[in-house]
Amino acid sequence: MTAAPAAGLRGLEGRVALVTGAGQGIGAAIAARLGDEGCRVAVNSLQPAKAAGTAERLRGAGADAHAFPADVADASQVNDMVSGIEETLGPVQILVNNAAYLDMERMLDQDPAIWNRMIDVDLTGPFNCARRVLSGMLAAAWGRIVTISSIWGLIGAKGATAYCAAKGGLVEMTRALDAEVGSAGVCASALAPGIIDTPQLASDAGFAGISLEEMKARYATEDLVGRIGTPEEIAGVVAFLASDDGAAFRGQTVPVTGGRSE
Amino acid sequence: MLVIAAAAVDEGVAELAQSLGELGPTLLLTPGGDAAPGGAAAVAAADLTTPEGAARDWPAVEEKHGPTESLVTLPSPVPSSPTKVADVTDDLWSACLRDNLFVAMHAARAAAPAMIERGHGRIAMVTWRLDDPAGYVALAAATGAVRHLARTLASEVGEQGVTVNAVSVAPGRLRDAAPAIRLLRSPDGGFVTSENLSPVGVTP
Repeated sequence: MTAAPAAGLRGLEGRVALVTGAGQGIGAAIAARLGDEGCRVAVNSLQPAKAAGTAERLRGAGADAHAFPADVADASQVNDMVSGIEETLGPVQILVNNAAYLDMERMLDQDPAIWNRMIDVDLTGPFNCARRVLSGMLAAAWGRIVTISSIWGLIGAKGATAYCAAKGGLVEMTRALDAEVGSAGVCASALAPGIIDTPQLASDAGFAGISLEEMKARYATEDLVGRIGTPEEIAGVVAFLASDDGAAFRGQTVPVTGGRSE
Repeated sequence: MLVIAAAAVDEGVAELAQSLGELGPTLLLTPGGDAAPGGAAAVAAADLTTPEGAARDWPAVEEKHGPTESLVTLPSPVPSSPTKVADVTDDLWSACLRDNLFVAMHAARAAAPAMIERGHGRIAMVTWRLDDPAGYVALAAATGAVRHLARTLASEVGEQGVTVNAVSVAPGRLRDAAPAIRLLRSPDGGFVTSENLSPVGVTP
């Protein structure tokens, strides 16, 4: 996994960063980029083997990385996870709320249990993590909470009502969180990725009834840049938002969509 | 090279040029080629307020200083006092469009072809975020037009590797645009286009 070249980011070296949902896709790219920037990375995933795999790859690239598997939807597991990080790496200074779950289905056909699981992971998960790490950030007068929303949280999408509700909720949660605790030292911001080349696209293709390659080609024609994005491009903006410069976007959600508006 | 295009130079322009100049070669273009206080950026004369001036001056500037990799256009200063709509003169209206919208348009039109040819370019149009626009109807119209110019131009040049975004800052706080411009012109900003970024100040 090759991260984008450093952009002169300041304030990241030596920070303890927790990246949730870092077993694959965007989260794994974020963890790698923060490792490249000199952060000490706590790699979270629901699946222990995936967390361990990402942490191992980061260590192979020279980063200080450790796996911390947990379900972010479970506040008790989040508490234990962060306690473990504090013992191993120190207080979490950068939280990247990336873990997400999306099951594409029409709302009228949606199993309430699936709806609840999406809200629990996608909206309550970031709340659980932010609440757990905030006291340490406030005590240190420095911290970054960067939350991954989605273009679908801004404009909606067919077949993703729970996901869109949760991702839209993250936009407002970020605004409210920053209003409550934000300062130049501690701030919350969010990022709304457009269509990114991740394993999730297979689910999109299944819902649309077309092949994965057809799905990618369709999405590419809808982006102004004529292509879908890469996990590394999202990771670069996350690193920026976690840096000193990122305070300029506190409370905001930055769209990273390749110009997508529908 | 990063090119900053403005209708005039004041302390805010100079401060932003100095901040951006820390990242590499920076050239400040104004009709008079005014030196920026502090001298962080090279300066050259280019009248981008008219199509004739842009057609005449831009090629000479690029020939002397090299290709423009990133272009930043700046707004004109906010008038010190408000003017009611009924009192807005034709001259005030025209000057507002000229020094904000036309500078951005002429500069982008001059810079974009070579960017497209190279398959890479970054354009950031800095403008004011008028949270209370009463008394500033001409400036509000011009700043809104700049934001939509950026959005629309992005749709024309996106597939050629050129990103175009607006950066809106509070009146008089051009320096607040610096972090956003640093992101947009870095490799990390390549998938951000057609947006209106609205950074806030991180320093008093």
